[in-house]
Amino acid sequence: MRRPLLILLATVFSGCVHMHSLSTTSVPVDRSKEVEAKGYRFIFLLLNFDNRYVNKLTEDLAKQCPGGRVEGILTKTEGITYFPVIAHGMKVTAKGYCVSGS
Amino acid sequence: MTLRLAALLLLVTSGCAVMHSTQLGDIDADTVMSSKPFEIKLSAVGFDAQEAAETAAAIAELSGGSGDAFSTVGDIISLFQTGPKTGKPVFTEKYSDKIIHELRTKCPSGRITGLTMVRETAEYPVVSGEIVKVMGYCQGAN
Repeated sequence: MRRPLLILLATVFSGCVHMHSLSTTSVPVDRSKEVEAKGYRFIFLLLNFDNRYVNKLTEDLAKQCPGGRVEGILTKTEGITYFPVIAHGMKVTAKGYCVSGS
Repeated sequence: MTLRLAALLLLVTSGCAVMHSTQLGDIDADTVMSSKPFEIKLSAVGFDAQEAAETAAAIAELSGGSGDAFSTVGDIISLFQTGPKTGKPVFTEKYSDKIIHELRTKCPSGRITGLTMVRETAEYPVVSGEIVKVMGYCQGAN
């Protein structure tokens, strides 16, 4: 009874998040409007054939800041393990500040 | 027969795109919305000598021989491949130095915005494609 419970607990709590990379650009003085974009890919059996999900991040941020500039962008790349070997995820988050164009 | 087919399928389908890092640069929204993005891809062949030695040892053992010599070689190679890294070892890292030249070629005006830098690996058994990808928008180029 105890062993199956331990196995169950181990599998349930084995979900881990790994930080792959983190970067930021110069942070502006005007930080009143925050914008954010996310790219996500669910990876089954470790099979992932491209990383195109990050291509739209720039456009997503630009759409949230018409006529301005997005500065102070913090980019975070994370790997998520839902279940070893079987289910993984990759998440890229970009967060910045919209500065009105002068 | 089924085992061979499975092994072949595994080899063919195991080419995976592994993401190591992503970095976004400042964005000029008008330029991004009004111009087409450009992409630069630089790559080098990665070769994992340790993995090659381990594979050779496994094959030798499957064939009834001894894979000890290969295992020893793999262990020795591993001593020289320590420390944090992304992807498989390459013979020279200079392949990424061309980025600046490529950016100048893609955007002669020099007014580049919305740069996205991606470091990824196209992973295959023993070898790999170590890739640096840059995407951006050029002001004045439609």
